[in-house]
Amino acid sequence: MTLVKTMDQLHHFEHQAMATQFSIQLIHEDKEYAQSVAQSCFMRIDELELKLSRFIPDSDISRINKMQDGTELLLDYETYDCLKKSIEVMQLTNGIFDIGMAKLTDVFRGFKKGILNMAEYKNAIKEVFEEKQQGSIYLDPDEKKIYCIKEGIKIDLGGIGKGYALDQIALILNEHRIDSYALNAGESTVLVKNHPDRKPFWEYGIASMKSEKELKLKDTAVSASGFYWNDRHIFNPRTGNNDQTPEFERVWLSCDEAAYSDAYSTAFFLMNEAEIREVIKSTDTINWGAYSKDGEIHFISDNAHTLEI
Amino acid sequence: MSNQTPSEKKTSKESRRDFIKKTSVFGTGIILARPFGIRASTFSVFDQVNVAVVGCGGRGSGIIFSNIPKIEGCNLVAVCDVIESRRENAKRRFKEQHGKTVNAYEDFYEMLEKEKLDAVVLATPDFWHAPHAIDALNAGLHVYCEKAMSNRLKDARKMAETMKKTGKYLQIGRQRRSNDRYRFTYKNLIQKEKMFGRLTHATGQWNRSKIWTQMPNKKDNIDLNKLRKYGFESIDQVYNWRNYKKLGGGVVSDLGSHQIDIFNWFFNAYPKTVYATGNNSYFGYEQADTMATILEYDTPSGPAIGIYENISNSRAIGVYERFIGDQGAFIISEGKDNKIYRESAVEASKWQKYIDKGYIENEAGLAKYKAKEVGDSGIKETAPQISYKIDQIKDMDVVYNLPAHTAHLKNFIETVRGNETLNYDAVESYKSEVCIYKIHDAINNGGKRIRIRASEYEI
Repeated sequence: MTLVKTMDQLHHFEHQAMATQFSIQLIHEDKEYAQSVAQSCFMRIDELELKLSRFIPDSDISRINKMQDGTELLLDYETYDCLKKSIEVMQLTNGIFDIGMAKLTDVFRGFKKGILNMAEYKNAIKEVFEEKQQGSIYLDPDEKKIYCIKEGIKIDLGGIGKGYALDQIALILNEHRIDSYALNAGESTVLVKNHPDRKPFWEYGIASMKSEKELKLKDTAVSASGFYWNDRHIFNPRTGNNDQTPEFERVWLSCDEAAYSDAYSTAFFLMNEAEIREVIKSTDTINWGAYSKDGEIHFISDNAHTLEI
Repeated sequence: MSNQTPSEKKTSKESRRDFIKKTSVFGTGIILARPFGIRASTFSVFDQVNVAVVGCGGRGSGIIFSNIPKIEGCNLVAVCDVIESRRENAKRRFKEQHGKTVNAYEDFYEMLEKEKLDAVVLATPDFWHAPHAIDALNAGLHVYCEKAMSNRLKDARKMAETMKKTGKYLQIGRQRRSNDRYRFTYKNLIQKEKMFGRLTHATGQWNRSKIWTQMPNKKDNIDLNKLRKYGFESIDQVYNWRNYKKLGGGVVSDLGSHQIDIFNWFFNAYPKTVYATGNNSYFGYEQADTMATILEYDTPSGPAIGIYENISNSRAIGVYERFIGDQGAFIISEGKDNKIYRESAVEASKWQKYIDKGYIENEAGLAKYKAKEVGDSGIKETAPQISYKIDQIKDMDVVYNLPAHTAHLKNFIETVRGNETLNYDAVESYKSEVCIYKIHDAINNGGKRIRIRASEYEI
């Protein structure tokens, strides 16, 4: 297959959901079929948003966030699956990835909107963080159920949900025998799949103030985390504050599944290099990591089989 | 079926809640574990309603994978679809996700004969609703049928009549009728508290950027000759039946009927006059892709107007319903758009009682962190306009605490089990179908104004 022919078969689709822009690039000889499959993918993203967004009052997550002490709730398969993956990352990062910080973000938003003044904001953050530290939620290991033991934790899947959505739409593309695609959620997570003849790799750039790298990605997911576009949106679960000065300007992380790359990249942004290395050593989920510091890009990990620079 | 009385059920639920609280006072954070002493659900299979889902496309998949697994009284035993890959995928995925094998059928009537069913859930194209629903009711089964009831008003009428004749249950899938927030708004805020005063206007829209067409999976081996047996003349008709007049009802039935039904519900009235126009100029399908209608009501509180539109070339403004009264207004939706506004002539203190009751909250739920209960928080940047939102669903007969599609099916299942009554039976639904078909008539007659007699709404 020649490159020109492949380019004719490259189709691009976009969709807004989860407060960001999703895009699908895929290679297929039938444009109409490609469009039909992309539509199924976007419908799936909308369906996932209805389950996973804490801003939709009927979602599973909104209902978890309203649970009272001693109550239990049946969950959708996807909510359960996503929560289970979140807990796995929370455990491996010693709680630095934490999906239970939503109330702190709400207080911060209230402050930015002018509902709370500075003094009220500081007191509210302290109070909410203490409640969160005392809260207790159990996810059943076998049944798709969640139990609220003690209120105080409000969940937000913003650090994993978009990646999870990409994994789910990859299943649809695979089911429809589409073998070369690049999926993108808000330009912070990409998931690519390759066919050796049609598309041996997908090219993506990562950049810092002083450096640029072109990556040739194969069958992998990569996520980035940083403060460039969304200042102070990450609260540190160790301190309950969002005023930390991170060690890095931005971090990048590759995993086979986008849910994991999304979640680990969020956590790694709040960790130091030694901590990151510890986590990478403790799991085979992560393919490679990189960070920008003082304007330069550095790679962590020897396990770079998905990476060609 | 259950032998427990409602009070026994409440006591047992409360005991379980106390048990979780008392036995699990260890470990903070979010943990993968089952609280000590909690066992897997002991819901008896004899207490469950055996159902089959007919149609395994988009909506059918939602029923199979998102709704049924959350309803303990609902036991899926079979799925049915004329497309082999759809029914076999549903069977395979249900086994993967829930560990249970269900039977898969191509033919609805073969399934009725072979399976011991209590109810069927119909998620097929509109033109199949009436024959399947009527035959199932006559066979002694209860039926949950996705809206629209049919693509022909006379068939919708026959469905409602058969429900009355057989005494079986027929619930129609306009799921907002079982949405906790919609029910609470109607029962407590509109009916009981009359919080918005006299409702005079409703507007609504369901705007989409495109009417997407679907194609079969390339790996499927679809036999058109076989599909003709089921009323389809082309493969496109199977996947995009909504675009064909003889198979479906187009945007007015698919989308508009959900929301215009809410106008009727909240106004406590059905339109006496319908003006409507629409066209298919954007996509050129048989059905209108763009439409607008004005509905005139005589409500118990006085005249009211409903304005509704469907746009299929832009998602702008999205999907919600908006009601305006002389004391307040609200936006309500199944998505993010849910807000309540107090008319400026109504003093804030008059609405304080609703906050005290836990019905509504203001200040984005952050009021408790404000140093002063009333008034400003110091001199600073301009604060946003104050709106309210629903706080807790309180003082209700039933709170489902489930997404609306699941809640609506649960209401049906619990009705079959003898614990509830239908939130939206076929007789009630027929009234909104009348109104929808009058809108169709107005559009098909070039924007004609149509009067609807009160007797036309009755079965």
